[in-house]
Amino acid sequence: MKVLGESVYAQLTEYITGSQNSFYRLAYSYLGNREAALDAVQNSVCKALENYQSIRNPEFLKTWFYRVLANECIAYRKKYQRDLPLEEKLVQKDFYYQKEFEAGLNLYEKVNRLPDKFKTIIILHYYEDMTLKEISEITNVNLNTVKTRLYAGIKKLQKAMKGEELL
Amino acid sequence: MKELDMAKKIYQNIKVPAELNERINKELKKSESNQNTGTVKKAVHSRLKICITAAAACIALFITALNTNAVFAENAKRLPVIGQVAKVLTLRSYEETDKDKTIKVTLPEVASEASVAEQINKLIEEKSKTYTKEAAERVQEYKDAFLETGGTEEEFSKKNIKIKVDYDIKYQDTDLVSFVLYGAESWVSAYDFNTFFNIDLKNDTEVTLRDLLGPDYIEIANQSIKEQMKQRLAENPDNMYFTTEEGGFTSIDSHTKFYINEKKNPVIVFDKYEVAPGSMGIQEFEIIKK
Repeated sequence: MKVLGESVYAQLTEYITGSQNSFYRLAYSYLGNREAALDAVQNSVCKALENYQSIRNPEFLKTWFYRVLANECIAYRKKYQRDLPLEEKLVQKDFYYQKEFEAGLNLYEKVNRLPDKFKTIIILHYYEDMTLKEISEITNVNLNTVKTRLYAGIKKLQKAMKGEELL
Repeated sequence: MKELDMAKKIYQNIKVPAELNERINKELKKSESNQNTGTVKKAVHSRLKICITAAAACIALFITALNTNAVFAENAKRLPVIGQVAKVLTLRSYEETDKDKTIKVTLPEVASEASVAEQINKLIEEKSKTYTKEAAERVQEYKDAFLETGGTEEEFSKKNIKIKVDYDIKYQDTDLVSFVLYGAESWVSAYDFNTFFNIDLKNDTEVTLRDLLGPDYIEIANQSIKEQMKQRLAENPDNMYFTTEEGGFTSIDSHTKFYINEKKNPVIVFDKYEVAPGSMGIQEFEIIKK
């Protein structure tokens, strides 16, 4: 038992070190603020390192960590909602922004304004290239619901892009 | 779909601050040492070192006795020498434990007729009250999140979370006291606070850097801090301070935190992350009057 526990711990620390940039980007997308995103990632890492014993199977390490992170971001925003500046537009200094990205700017901002349950799926699937099965593990909803929400999210975005729906 | 590709590019080009890696390494280090010892690391503040000369030991004993016995305190004040030294005492000390956490508070009090002492005593009490209340709320939130993500009550209890408010005396004589009140939580360091009090009891005022260093105090301190930073950078290649563009040190002002050390020199204190990356910790600079 002990040996297994240690190897999960080693795998977790390695995973955290290697994927920290992805964590930050996800947190930043949720919170739209540099300091808040740093806090949220740090808190998630702290919680993950304390609770890694609850991972039964190292295979689920990645989805487990993302679940901790997503929950942390949502909790963080709830708590500090009033203090977080509402960034309607992208803060250029927080990006390596290039002019050629212009075509995606509108869509990017609209994705960020989607309600959480759609936004999480769109970001993880399209930006982080995760499978719907992984997303179902992260969000703790069954695969069919993930699919339904993904399509509903895309539809919302399409309508918003055409100006038929406000986000 | 060009728009989606470009949106993804924007996402992938979110700048990741260098601070992220430092913060994560800090958590990893903290966790590693817990792994090795199997215990939750205690608050990071180091206690004031008491020199074990006979006299100092004697004074230390008296302070302990003072704190626990009101009658003794009354008598001690009248004793020559010792009565004069014990100006900052423990007002009260208590510990509350429930299944989620332990709150340990040791509150100082400035024992003086001076009206500034009265104000500060009040401030200390309020500060401690707010901090412990907010810290308890944070633990509750942490617990809720912990249970939601599959943890059990029992596992949470085992974390043995501690919240602490305490003080360190930096300097005291008959007329002058300097001490720090601090709060820390064992599971997260982001909410730690430290507040410094420097009081001239004779003149009933708070001591300022101007009082200690003269009208040119800003210049004197800035120059000394910059020299000491240079020296620390030269001593160890791992040391690092933020540049001015990164929001690093530019100048002190009348609100800069400091305490008075045993040589009666002011020591300027910068919180973690204030002038340097978190790995540098709290940065202190003793300013020696020339």
